[in-house]
Amino acid sequence: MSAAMDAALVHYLKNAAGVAALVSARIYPGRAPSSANLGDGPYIIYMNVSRTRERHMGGGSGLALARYQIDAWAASYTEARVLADAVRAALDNVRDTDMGEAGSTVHVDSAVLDNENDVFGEPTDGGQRAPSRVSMDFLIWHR
Amino acid sequence: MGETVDVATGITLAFGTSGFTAELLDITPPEASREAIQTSHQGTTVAHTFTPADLVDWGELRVDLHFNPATDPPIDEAVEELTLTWPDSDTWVFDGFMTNYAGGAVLNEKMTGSATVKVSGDVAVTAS
Repeated sequence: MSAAMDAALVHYLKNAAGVAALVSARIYPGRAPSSANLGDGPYIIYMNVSRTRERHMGGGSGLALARYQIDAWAASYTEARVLADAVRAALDNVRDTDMGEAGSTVHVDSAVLDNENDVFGEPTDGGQRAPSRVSMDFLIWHR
Repeated sequence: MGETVDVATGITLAFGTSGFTAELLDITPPEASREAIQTSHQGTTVAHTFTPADLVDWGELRVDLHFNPATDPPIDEAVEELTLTWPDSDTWVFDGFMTNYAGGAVLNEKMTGSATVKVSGDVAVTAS
């Protein structure tokens, strides 16, 4: 199910208008590929930090709670902030939604933004523009 | 040495008449107790004496469960037979009736609740 949730999350973000307008398909697991360049525009890095699967006496319930770290990367903090806000608008407070491509959807009971923090990079051109990211943790109940 | 310890998974609780079902989490089985009746008298020496009461009280069974708001609990039903089946298929069969049913909804947590059943009479313990 974790691979299915990853795919569903990526599909959802790629199809969220505000997010897609900024990153297109530049949503990567774990780390950006060597070909990714912030000069071409911001991108998203995501990672499943943890996942607990709810059980009962009869076995697995099918319900899981995942913590996803979603980082909005950009060449400047301002751009990273704009991308983070777009991700938050798309994903925070989602309820009872089937995510993913038709035929392989994952049902999301709830997605909430649990924490976010800013990480500033160092300028590399003597100016004020520096790679920056806004790191967000989302708690996603899914089945 | 034979094994006597087991892990609590796969335990089931069947309500014989109402058919009440739920996804069970933690289970506190009925707890048996009986009175110790003091028989000391003026002639008793050294220490008090006691005799066991004839009747045993098996108390209550309590379960924690995944709370489903659509479930109608048998809180107003008559005494019925319940069967508690343990991990290795040992069974406890007893008559009882629900005395409490409660649910909870903590923000962004799964909904859980509890149910309490009063045992009426003896518990028939059967090893598998």
